[in-house]
Amino acid sequence: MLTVSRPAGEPPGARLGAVHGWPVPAVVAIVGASSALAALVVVSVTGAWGLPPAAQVPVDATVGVTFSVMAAVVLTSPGLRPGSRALAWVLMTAGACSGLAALATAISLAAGSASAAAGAAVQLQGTIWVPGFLPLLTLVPLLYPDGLLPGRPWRWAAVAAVVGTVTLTAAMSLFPETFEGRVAIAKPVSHLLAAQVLAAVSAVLLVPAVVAALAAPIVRFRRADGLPRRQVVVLMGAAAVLAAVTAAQGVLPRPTDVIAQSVAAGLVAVAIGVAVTRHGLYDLDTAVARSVVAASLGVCLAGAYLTLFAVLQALPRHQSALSAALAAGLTGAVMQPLAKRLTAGVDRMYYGDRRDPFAVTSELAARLTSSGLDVARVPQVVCDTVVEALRLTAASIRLAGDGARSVASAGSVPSGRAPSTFDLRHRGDVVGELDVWPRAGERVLDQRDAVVLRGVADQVSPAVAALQLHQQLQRSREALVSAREGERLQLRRDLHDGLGATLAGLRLQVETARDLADDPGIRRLLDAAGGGVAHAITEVRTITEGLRPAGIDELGLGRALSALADRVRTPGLQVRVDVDSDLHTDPAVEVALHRIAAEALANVVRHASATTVRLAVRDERHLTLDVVDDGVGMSAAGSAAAGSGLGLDSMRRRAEEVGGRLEISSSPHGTHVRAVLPHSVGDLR
Amino acid sequence: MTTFTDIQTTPDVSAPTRPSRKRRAVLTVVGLLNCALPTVFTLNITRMLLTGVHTDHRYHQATGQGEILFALWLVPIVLMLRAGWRGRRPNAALGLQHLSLIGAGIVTAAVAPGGGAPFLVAVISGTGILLWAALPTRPRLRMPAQTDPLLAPVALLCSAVLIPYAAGQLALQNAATTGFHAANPHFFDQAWIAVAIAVMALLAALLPAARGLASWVAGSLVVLGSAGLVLGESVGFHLAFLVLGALTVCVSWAARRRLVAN
Repeated sequence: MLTVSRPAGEPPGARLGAVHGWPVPAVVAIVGASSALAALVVVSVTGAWGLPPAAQVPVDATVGVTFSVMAAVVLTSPGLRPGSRALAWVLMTAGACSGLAALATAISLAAGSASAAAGAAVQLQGTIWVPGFLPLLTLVPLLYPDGLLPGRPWRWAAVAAVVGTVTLTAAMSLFPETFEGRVAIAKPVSHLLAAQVLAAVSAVLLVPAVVAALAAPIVRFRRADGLPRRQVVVLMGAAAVLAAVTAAQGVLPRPTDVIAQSVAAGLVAVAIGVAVTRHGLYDLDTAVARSVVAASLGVCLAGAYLTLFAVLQALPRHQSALSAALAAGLTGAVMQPLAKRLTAGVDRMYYGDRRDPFAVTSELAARLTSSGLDVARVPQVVCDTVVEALRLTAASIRLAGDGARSVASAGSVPSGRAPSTFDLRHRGDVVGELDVWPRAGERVLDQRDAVVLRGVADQVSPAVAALQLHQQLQRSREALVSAREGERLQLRRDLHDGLGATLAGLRLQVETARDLADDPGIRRLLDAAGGGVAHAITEVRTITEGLRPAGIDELGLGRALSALADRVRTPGLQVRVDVDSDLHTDPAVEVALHRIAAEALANVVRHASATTVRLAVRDERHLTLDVVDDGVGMSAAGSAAAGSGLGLDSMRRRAEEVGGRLEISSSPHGTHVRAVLPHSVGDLR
Repeated sequence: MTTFTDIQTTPDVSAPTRPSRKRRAVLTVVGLLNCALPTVFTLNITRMLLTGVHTDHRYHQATGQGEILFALWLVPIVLMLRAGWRGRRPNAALGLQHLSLIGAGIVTAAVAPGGGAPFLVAVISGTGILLWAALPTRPRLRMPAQTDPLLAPVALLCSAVLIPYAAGQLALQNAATTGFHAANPHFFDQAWIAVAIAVMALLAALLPAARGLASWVAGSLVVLGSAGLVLGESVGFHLAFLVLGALTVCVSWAARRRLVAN
C-alpha cells in the first residue's frame, strides 16, 4: 500500500509515488537489481552453472542491474525533461522484469522437484522475459533520447509495440513448455491453441513495430544536429557493439560468449544513461578520441605482430619460438612511434590542425596569396580556413566601426552560445574582431586553439586593416563621384538654360541687325559677329555634352539608351532593347550606366563579330544592365583586336565608382556584360 | 568588384602543356608494350571464365590468375598513359599501385620461381620502367606520411590475413613441381595479388595521397572473398577477406565523408 508523505508546505501532488518514504524509482530499482543479484547467488550456491539454461542468467542479471540502476539515476537527475522520464520508466520496467526473470530462472534451475513454487518460477521465467526484452527493441529506440516520438506517424509503432508486448507476454505465459533444470518441470498453466493465436497476433503487431523502432534512430540521426545527433550516435555505437557480440555467439567459446554479451548489454544501459543525463555531452569527444586511439593501437599492434610472425614463419629454417619473439620485439619497438602517430591522426580527425599551428598559418598564407584574390575576400578566406583547419563550429569577422555586422562568416553559428573574440590589431589600433565558436561538445575554446587563433589574427590584421582602408577609400571615392556628377548636372543646366539661351538670343539679334543693315561694311562686321556667337554656341554645346551624355537630360535615361542602340544598329547587327520604363536613380549612376552601356555596345561593334545583341536594364532592388551578344567571345576578340583591354578597365572603374560591380562572362558563343548598380551611390553594400 | 568567368585573356599557367608529337609517339609504343600482355591475358581468361574452360580453376581465373590481377595491373597503366598523353602528372596513388604490383611480383617470384613467374615479372618490370621513363611528368612519390587512425588497424589486419595466405600459396607453388600448376603458376598469382593488396592497404593507411588505394583494397578483398566462398575454397581465409573488404569499404567511406565535411 502506497503511503504518500508530504512535507509541510508542499503542494498536493508534488511528490506522487513514494513507498514508506522511499521514492518509487528507488524501490523498483532495488527490486530489479536485488532480484538479479539474488539470481546469481542462487545459481552459484546450487552449482547450476553447468546446466544449459544457466547461460541466460548472467545476461538477464546484467540487464536487471544496469537498466534498473541507470533508470533510477536518470529519474533522480535534476532538470530532467518529462519525455526523458517516460524513457527512464521504460528502462526501469525492462530492468525490473529482467531481474525477476533471472531470479525465476535461477529458482527453476535450483529446484530439486516439481513443487508448486518451482512450477510458479517456471511459469514466471517463461513469461516475464518478454517485457524485460522487447521494450529494448521497440519502445527504447522509439523514445530515445528525449522521450518523444520522431513524429506523429510513429504513434502507431509505439501502440503496436505496447499491445504486441502485452499479447506476446500472454502468449508465452500460456505456451506449454518444460524447463530442463535439475529436474524437468512443466508449466502448470498452459493452453497451446490460445498461445498460438496470441503469438500470431503479437507477431503481426511486433514485426512492423520493431522495424519502425530500429529505423527511428536512423531517422533522428539524419534529421538532428548538434547534441541530439551526438546522443543518437552514442546509442548506435553501444547497440553496434551488442549486435556484433550477439552475432559472434556460437563462434566465441563458453564462457567468453556469455560474459561478452552481458558486458555489451550493460554498455547499452550506461550509454543511454550518459547520453540522457550528461548535459551537452561535453568532453565526450575527448573520451571517444582516447578510446579510438586505444582501440586502433591495440588492433594495429595485433595486426603488426601477426603479420611479422607470418613473414618470419614463411622464411626457410624458421623456428616458431624465435619468430614469435622477434615479431613481439619488433612490434614492441614500433609501439611508441605508432601510438604517437595514431594520437596525432585522431587529434587531426577531431580537432583539425590544432597541434600544428604552422600548417594552419601556411594554409591561410597560401589561400591569401593565390592569384587574383581581391582584398575584399580576405575576411571570408580567413573564416573558411579557421573553420576547416580547426574543425570549429563557426567563425566570423567584424570590422571596427561596423558594429555587430560581420563582413564574413563561415560555418553555422550555434544559437545561444557566445563566441570567443580575438582582436585584430594593426599598428596599435583594433581594426576588427575575429569571433569563433568552439566545437560541438566543447564548453569553451581550448587553450591550444586560442594560441593558433591568436597567431592567425596577428597574421591577417594588416590585410584587414588594408580592407578597412580600401572601404574608406571607396566610400570617399563614391562621395566624390556623386558630388562631381551633381556639380556637372548643375553646370550643364546653368550653361544650357543660362549662357546657351543668352548666346542663342544674341545670335538672333545679330542676324536680324545684319539683315536690316544697308552698309556692306556693317553687314560684314555683323556677319563676323554672328559667326563668332554661333561658334560660342557650338562650344557651349560641346562643353555641356561633355559634362554628361547627350540625351539623358533631354530624353531620360531609358530613351537615351535606346538612342545608343539605334546608333549601332546596322543591317548586319540586330539590336534588341528591353529597358524598364521608369528608371529612378542618382545623376552619377545614370552617367555610369550610360557610359558602361556605350562602351559595351562599342566593343560588340568593334570586336565581337556578332549578329545580335540585346541591351536590357532592370530596375528592381538594384539597377541591372545586361549587354549580351552572340559573337566570338573575348578570347578570340582579344587576340584579334588591336586594343589593350577592350575598355574593361573603364567599365569596371565606372561601376565601382558608384559602388556597383561588373560581371563579364565570355565563351566562344558570345559575351555577357552585366553591371549591377545601386539606385544611390554606395547603396549596394 | 569585377567578376570574370570563362575568360582566358591571359594564359593559364596551371594548365598542362601538350606533349610533343615525338613524346606521344613514344608513349604510344610504350603503351602498347605495357598493355599488350595484360590485355591479351584479360580477354583470354575472361573468355575461359565465361565459356567454362578449365572449370576447376575458376577460382584462380576470377582472382589471382585473372580478373583481380588484371584490374590491379592494367588500370593504373592505362590511367598513367592517359595522363601522360594529356601532359598531366599522373596521380601519386596510380604510381604507388603500379609499383606495389611490380614490387610484390618481384618478392613472390623470388620466393616461388617455378612456372615462369620470374620471366613474367621481369617483362612487367621492364615495360614498367619504360613507361615511367616515357611519361612527361612522373607521379610524385615523395610525400609526407600521415597515418590514418581508422585505416591503419584495418590495413594491418588485412596484412595479418593476406600474408599467411600468400605464404601458403607460395608453399603450394613450390610444392607443385609436376602437374598442371608446375607450368601454370596459379598459386604464385594468388600470392602475388595477396602481397600487392597488403602493400596497397598499408600505403593507403600511411600516405594521404594514397588513400584512394583503400577502394582498390576493399574491392579486391570482396571479390577474392566472395569467389573463394562461392567456389568452395577455404572458408576461414575467404570469410576473413570478405569481412575485411566490407570493413575497408566502411572505413574508407567514413574517411571520404570526413574529407568532404572538412
